[in-house]
Amino acid sequence: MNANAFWHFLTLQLFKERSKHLSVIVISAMILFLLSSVLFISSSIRFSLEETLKVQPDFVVSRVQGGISVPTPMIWEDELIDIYGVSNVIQRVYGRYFFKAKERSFLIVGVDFLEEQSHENLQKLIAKTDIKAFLNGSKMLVGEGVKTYLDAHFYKDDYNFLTPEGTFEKVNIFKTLPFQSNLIANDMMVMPIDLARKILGYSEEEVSDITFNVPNPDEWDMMTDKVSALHYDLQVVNKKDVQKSYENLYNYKGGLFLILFLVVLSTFTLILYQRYSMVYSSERRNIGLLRALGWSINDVLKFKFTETLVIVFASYILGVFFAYVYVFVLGAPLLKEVFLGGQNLQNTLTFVPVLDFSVLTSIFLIYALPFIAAVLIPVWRVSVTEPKEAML
Amino acid sequence: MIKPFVAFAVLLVILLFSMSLHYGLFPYSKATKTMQEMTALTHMTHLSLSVGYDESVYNSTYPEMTALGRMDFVYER
Amino acid sequence: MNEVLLSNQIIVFLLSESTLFILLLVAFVVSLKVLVKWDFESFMPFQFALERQAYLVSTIILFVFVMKFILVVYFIFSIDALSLLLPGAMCGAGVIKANVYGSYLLVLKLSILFLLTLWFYIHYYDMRTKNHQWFKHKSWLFSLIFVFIVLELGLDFSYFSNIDTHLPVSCCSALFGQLEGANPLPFGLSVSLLLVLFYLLYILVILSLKSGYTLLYILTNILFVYIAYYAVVYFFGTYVYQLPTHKCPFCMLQAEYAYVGYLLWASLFMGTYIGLSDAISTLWLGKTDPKSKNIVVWLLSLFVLLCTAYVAVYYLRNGVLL
Repeated sequence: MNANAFWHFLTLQLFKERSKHLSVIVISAMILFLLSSVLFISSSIRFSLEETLKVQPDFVVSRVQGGISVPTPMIWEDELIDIYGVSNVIQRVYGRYFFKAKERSFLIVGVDFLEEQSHENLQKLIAKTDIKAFLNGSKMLVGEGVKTYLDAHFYKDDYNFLTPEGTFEKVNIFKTLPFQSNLIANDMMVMPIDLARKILGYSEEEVSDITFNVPNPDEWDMMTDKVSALHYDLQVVNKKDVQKSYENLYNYKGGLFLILFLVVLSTFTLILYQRYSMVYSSERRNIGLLRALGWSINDVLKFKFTETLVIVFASYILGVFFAYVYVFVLGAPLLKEVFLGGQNLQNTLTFVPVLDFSVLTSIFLIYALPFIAAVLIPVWRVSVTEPKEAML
Repeated sequence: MIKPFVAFAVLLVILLFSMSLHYGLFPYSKATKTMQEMTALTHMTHLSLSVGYDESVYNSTYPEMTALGRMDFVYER
Repeated sequence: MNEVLLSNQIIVFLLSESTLFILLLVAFVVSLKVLVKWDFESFMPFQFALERQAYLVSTIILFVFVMKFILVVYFIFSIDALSLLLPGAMCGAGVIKANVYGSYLLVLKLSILFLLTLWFYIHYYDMRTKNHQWFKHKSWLFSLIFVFIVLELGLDFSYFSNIDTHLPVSCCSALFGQLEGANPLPFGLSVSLLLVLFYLLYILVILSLKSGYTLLYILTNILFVYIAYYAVVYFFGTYVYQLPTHKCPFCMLQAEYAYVGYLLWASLFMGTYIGLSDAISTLWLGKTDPKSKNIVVWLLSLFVLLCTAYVAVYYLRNGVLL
């Protein structure tokens, strides 16, 4: 059969029967939209975190008592420096500050600005920062979410922290952190380390935890053993564990969604099976005519199959496109709260677009395969129509 | 192929094209660099989850990450 | 719940495999019925009904045929992605070896693809005869494939549900690399002999294919795949990674090496599948397809050229061999 004539007839038929196909396309596109949005968000967050983890220190050491993190003594830092192969030992002070009146919390992160490296990092992050002005008096950098929240509550320039001693600590808002970092810095308040200690109630000899790097990854396992042998209440976490826990977290969210989605999918498949059985039985006469005109069973099968493929691909493209716009252009309103939560601060982030083989194939497989599988039998049933049916 | 179908196909191609255009033009290096600089400054990759204060109790693998792997969106607490 | 079973790719993979299985089950039942009652000489309406049902079987298998190829690629991709979750795994090799089922599953998947290709060839010839001469051949073949697929589905589930994410697995360098002086190559070959054999076999494959010594061709091609696997892992792979100690068939499937492994292995296996299917149908049905011979030559040459090119480019760039 002439390919052009085939396509001409196929498309003519598709458009003539468009009302039948339109509803299928719309429902498919909606299901695909939901599915793709979830997978897009989770893969985008995973991508961003993986990129960011690259620069994170390799190991984190903290003190754990009874399964709860407690302040880590600063002396441990000196013990770590003495181990051969360990570099960049850095203390971290951070913790959540609870804004009781409104049941909101912020993450306070202390940075040692007396270090040269921190200056450089700050300069890189926020161009044209006057370090001297920043270090002069109590000042902090706040994430976008924090800034919006404080603005709305009339803390335009400064905020009064209540320290555990019962005193007030007035800290000026110096600048807002760039919005591209919203995924990790939305609820952050970055301030000099001593100020953070005071607000969070750490003593001079205490830190939240200590990080260090081990440049040779082959030594990581050995180093974990060595460091955990230092103290009985010491917990070491390396970057691979963190990576794994993030991976698990999003597998868990996406996986649970997918498992629930299976219910929708099987219903959809059943509906498709029913619908196509009905639609095609009303087409028996047409097919009978085609058969009488000399089409073979294979021709009809090919015809119906191509028709299905056109519908599958059209709805695939539509669904993925709308999901793409929804997630990466509009920032996935509502749905992102499943992944990031929505009880605390409003996070207006832009997801970094990620379209890889794995996501696109997953979407295709989970949708197209059941779709075609459901339609196969009705397609066959109508394709083997006898020519004599044309006369009925 | 009949004209309306060609128009429809062209529309789909335009959708694909605009999607890949947005994908291609997205400032990846800017976005990832900012986050990496943020991490370099604070030494932590803290995912900014917007969860209630009492939920952020403890995560066994990574103490500074707020616990999100809870089942209470499936089971009522 | 097992963390592996929550991985998105694994869920999609298992779902797809199960859906295909249900379809195949329908096809298998119909096919058995058709096979038992088939009598092409008969003019009873029942025989016509059977012939119509045969169309259902072949449509389903053709669909499964296409999907299985996509799914194998997807399987390998998911395995690679799982390496993040398993302690010690750097690539798919460690994940495959995470339990006993892995390597059997992979081999089984590859054999099923081969059988499906063979089925496709027989089906192709069968559809071109007026009396469905080879209908019984292809139905028996499908029954065999179905048995394999049942096995495969069982292995799929037992493999993925038995991966322990807390148990450290071996990394590829431990699996393929230093074996404490023991020679990992078959027949006690050295690497230089392996290479000589690799190129010789390639030439032999092409020659026997062109000259029509079908039996010889089948033998040499099977041997070629076997030798090529070792040649890639122990010699060509090191040039892909540009590291003399890195010996792994899986790492080259990762993004760092521009996914070249997919092209490499696909050209080798597709070439072999097509070649062997054509050869077997020559012996079995007496039908050959001259076009597939050309495709085989192209694919296998692409494979050999790609391997050689990595070595050549490395040599031209650095002036030394690894």
